[in-house]
Amino acid sequence: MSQSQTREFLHSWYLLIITILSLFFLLINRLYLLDIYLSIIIFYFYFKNGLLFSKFKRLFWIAFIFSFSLFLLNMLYPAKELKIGDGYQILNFKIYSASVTEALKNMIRLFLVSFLSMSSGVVINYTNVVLHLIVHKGLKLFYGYPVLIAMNSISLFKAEFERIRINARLRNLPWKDQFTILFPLLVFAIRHSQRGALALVTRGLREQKTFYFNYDLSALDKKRFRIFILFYLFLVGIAIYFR
Amino acid sequence: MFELGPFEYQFKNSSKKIFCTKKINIKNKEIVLISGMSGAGKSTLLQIIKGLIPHYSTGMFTGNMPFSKKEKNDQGSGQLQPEIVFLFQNPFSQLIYPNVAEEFFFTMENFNFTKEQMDFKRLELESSFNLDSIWNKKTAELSHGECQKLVLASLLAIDPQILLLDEPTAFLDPVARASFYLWLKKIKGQYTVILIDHHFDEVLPIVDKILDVASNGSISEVNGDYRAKFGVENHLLNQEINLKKSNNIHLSLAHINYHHAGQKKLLEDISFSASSGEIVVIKGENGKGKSTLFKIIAGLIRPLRGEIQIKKNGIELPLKKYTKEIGFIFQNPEAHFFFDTIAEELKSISDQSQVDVLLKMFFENIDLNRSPFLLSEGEKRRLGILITVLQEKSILLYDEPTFGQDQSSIFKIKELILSLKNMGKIQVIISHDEAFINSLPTKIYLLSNGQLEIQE
Repeated sequence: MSQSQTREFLHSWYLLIITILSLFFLLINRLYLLDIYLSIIIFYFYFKNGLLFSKFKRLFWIAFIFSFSLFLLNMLYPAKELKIGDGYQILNFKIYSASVTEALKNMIRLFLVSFLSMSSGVVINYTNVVLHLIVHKGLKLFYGYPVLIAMNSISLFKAEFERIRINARLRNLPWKDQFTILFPLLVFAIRHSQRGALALVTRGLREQKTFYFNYDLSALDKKRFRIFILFYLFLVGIAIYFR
Repeated sequence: MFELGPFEYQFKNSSKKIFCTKKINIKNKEIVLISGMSGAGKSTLLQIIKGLIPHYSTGMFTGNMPFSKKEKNDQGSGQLQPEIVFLFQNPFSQLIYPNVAEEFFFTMENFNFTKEQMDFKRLELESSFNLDSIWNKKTAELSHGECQKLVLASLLAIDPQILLLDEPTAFLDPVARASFYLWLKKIKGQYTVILIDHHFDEVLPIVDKILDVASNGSISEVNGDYRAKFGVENHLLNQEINLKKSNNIHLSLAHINYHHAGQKKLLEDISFSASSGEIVVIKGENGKGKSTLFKIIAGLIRPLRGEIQIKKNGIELPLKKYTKEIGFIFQNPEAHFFFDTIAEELKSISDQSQVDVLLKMFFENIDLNRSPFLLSEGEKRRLGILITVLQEKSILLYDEPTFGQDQSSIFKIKELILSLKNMGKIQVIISHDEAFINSLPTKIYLLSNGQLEIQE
């Protein structure tokens, strides 16, 4: 691992794999208790890898509001087969206990999937992932380095979009021309990619190169990853048994 | 020694070209300055020397390349001459990694240096480029000067023979610029250096040779009296600029405090005022809040404490009307452009008569059907200024208006500012260009440690 990088509890490459495995499990598993156990373990890794509690809270509420809106939709407009029993009248809506149960299950699933996805975006260091793939997994340099430049330019895009937006406001562009705000952003994207490509060329990028840092997975990373996989297989086994 | 020319390069879909009809010899270890008006083709010349043109360009090149060697790797894509390194005008556009250490080693890795060789180079270059102070930083946190040092150190680590430097001092504050010229003096005789620079007073004593790129694209060696050649031409102002006058406008800031969320104080108890016809200059190191102050003045950011007031004819304007009175000339000129062609940009703002006067003032020949994004950096900056001035706002905020401008353009910008002063505009300028600041009748403030102090 790079000496200049913050030491990760679990290498981002493994973190990406366990996130993908977890999302897959959350989407297809029907035992919600297992989903919660898995999510606790995943968030343990995320917190160890630097997820701040303030960010956790913010993402929690975003995921909650998003999934709660689906809950309301499912509850207020249930499928035909869920309109069982007398139900309760609230305003102009008839609420059935079967639809509430189903809505709750969907909400939990959506909440966990969206919460996990958003949190993974914060903790996974994709630079480390790409460099590991380049050095150890055969990702070609001429694909990997442009991806690296693109990933590291997100903050530049945000700053440029802000400048363009400010300028449009100060220029009092008429409403129909406000859509042209996307044009300079597109140009910026193209020119940034041109400059990035030229930077790689002028600094001599070639297929055969050495690396100062080895971007390797440590023994501890592998151990933690194996422990997680064992736990994951255990959960999968239970899910299949109680299917 | 290497020979430049004869060659000709024609830009794609344009009548513009740069050409060299005679051979120009550049001796080993010489320091060569490339001069010329902005948009003439200076950066293009550096790209030709490096080999980016014609291998990575769309125009048409004919004639002798300075270096004809081009290695081919297994996949057939050429590698450019490793003995020539190229520092872009904006060093941030050459960054690949988010971390300083990885960025430093990147060039050496590409030339298959071993770890031991890279460690040796790090020790060699660390002190002269002050790398230990930035080693553990993210590249996004670096100042322009630090970023430039990092990229330059990374390039020098592979022991090149020729350094191509495209306006290396364009984004540097005066302290960093002085430090750069000292370094240039120190390395004189170690490398062949070909650079573009507009700070003639500081760079001319160091250079051995000057190549000039004329406005028609012709490249020639300058002989004789350099200072006579690079004296400022008085182009202006025989034509009157007929823009709306702005009398009785008053801007005041009182006890402004601001900091970004979760960070320490950026602006503390800032107060100043300006009236119609005044020019205010704000100096200060990069990253100390000058651009943030501009956003506060423009009403784009609310200060945490304090008050801003704009009064027109004695009547205080509400915040939502600030944008009608304030024009902001950004450091990045491309943020000003929204349309496909220069003609469309200008048509959307002002009537043709004023556009013609100002266009003639700032551009010798410009193709209005061209995309503004395809202009040179200096031309873009001038166009950005034009676009903002033509909006006829009462208060103009300039963020480094002279970056990347040749002396003639700086003179024109100065004359424009003086004309706008006579029309009653309030103009607030962020600038590091001491010569430019001293040539204007201004109130000068220094923004330091979050506080604004007037300078005598």
